[in-house]
Amino acid sequence: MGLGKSPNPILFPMGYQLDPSIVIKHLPLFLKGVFLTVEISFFAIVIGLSIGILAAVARTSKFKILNLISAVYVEVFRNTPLLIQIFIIFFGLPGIGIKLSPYISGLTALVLYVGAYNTEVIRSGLEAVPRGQMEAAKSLGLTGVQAFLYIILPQTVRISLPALGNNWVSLVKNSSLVSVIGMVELTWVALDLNALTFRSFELFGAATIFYLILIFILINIQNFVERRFAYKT
Amino acid sequence: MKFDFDVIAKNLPYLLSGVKFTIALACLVIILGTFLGVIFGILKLSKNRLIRYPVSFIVELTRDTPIIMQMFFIFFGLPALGIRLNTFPSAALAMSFFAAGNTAEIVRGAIDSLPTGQFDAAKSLGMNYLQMMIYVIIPQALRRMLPPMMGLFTTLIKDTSLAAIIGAFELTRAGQEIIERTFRSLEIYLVVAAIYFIICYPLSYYTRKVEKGRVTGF
Amino acid sequence: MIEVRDIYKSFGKVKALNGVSATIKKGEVVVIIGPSGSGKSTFLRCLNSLEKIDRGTIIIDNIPLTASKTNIHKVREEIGMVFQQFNLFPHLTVLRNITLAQIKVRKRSQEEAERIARDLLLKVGIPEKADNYPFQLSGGQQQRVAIARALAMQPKIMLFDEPTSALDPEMIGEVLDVMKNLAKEGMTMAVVSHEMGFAREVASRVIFMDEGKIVEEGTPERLFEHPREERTRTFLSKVLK
Repeated sequence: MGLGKSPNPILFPMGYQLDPSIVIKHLPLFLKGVFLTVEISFFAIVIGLSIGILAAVARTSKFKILNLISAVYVEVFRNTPLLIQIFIIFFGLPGIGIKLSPYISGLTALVLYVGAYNTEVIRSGLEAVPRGQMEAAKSLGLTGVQAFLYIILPQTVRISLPALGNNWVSLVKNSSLVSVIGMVELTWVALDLNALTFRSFELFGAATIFYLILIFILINIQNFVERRFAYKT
Repeated sequence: MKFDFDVIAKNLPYLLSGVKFTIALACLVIILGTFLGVIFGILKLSKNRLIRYPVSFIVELTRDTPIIMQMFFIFFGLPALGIRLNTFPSAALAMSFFAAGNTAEIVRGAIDSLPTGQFDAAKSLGMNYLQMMIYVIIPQALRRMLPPMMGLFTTLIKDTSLAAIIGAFELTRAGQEIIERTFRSLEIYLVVAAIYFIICYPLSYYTRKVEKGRVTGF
Repeated sequence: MIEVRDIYKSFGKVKALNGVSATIKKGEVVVIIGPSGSGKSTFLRCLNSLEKIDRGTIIIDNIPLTASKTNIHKVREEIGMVFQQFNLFPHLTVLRNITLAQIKVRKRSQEEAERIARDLLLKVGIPEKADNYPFQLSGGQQQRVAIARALAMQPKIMLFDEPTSALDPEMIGEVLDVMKNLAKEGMTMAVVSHEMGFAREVASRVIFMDEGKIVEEGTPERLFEHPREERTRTFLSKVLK
């Protein structure tokens, strides 16, 4: 184990010696954790967006049954903790014979959770697109589906971008929860190394900084995309 | 596999005893967090960079990192500085900072959404900064803060579940203890989810109503 | 009363005021006209320091605005401003809108402030609206309340920044009437407006601004009938029917 002496013993009164080298030593593992955090977040964002669009369409559809299913989905997943949702999928489902890996369980939970929030955002985006757009599209001969895909949906996404971006930032933060079911992402790395070395201050401090950097980059991407693509009605 | 209703019935009282802590934690955090957050929010408006930069940093730090990371840091990491907090206080402190960071952002958003004309009118009437904030700006900002703050409260109630990870006793932890004894994960977690739902759904429903009611243009 | 010497104001690269000098004497009603972007609103807003000038001097009632010793809040008590967007405080009743600054800034008592407020509401023609909220009033009524709010401070100078531009046509008259009465009573006024009829009736002087500079000024008759500058002629031909 690294044994660097703290240059400033006054900072840590209980004789705790700050040892940043523990982070440096395990940097590859940290980076692997960061990579997995990014990976699972990315998939959750993409799949969650699709679910959000589908559920938003269902929520605004004329068919009462679709409307109801979507509404129930959204309300259930927005009003229960993500942690419990993860537990139900990973620990509970095996009880009825569905055993999923930590990765798939975590991904499913994140997708369903962010999907529910996306639904509400996209629904208001849909409502914000002027009625005249659909009329104009149809009068040009486009079918309902074509009009939706080429005219309505792009505008909806652009209007919803700011709020969607916020959901994605939350998603990256929430991805830390999948560590509790053993998925080897950033938080799990910190927890695991902590159990091994007890250098909590350095390890969790380092993990926090990694998240900060990740989120900072994400927010900047979000701002860039917003500036170029988003517009207000 | 049969769905075991019995285990639910037998353990419901234990679960409900956890709910008390869930509510207590959420209320404590929202009060502390709002108080801190409003102070942060107003400090962030300061023209003085020596005040603004550190406050901005703290706000971003608490808003842009996962809550459990903040909980781990406080519970596991702070002892290095000689600060040893128990599970419940650690969770409360971490969540309070998270709430404060988000509240500061809500304050900023509310004040930003006010038309600059309000500031102009107050200034042109001869009001100084303090008078302008107290009589014109803050009353209007508070009204705009209400829906997002209610949303934050709902989020905090759900996030109390994270305290279970560091071992604090509340609803989720109660559920975990029951499962350790009975192994009926599906039933118990479903009931736990249902209890959270019963608490949160009325709140989010009411929040939506409040949002829609504010059409009078302030 | 107001002396403006060679002021400059830029917003980033945009030169809003490019060397403007003017004098406004007590009792004068000065109407400032010009195309959008000419700097007229910026000029007005510099007079009560809502915008700070980059260069030059502004002296109000012998007090230099930009001197560090000057208490800008005290100066603003003597200058009333009416805005294009009214800017009434939506969370307060009409009465409270008018009494708030009187009580907190002029330090008047509640009774005195209310008496003055009600007198002014009567003067602008809407005494019955004292306990209503701004959103319950029409645009013209709101603007009249805004004028009453500014007058309640008993300022020496009144500034009007396009006071009727945000109003529906049928309400412009009621606001202009209030302003005309104010002018007749001898209030020193600086008005940025497109209402040429108003200028002709009550202005002692009209200033035409373009691209951050004063192009020409004179009595309304002289400026409208015999404009000296080409730019003035072009602008007037577009605006006057």
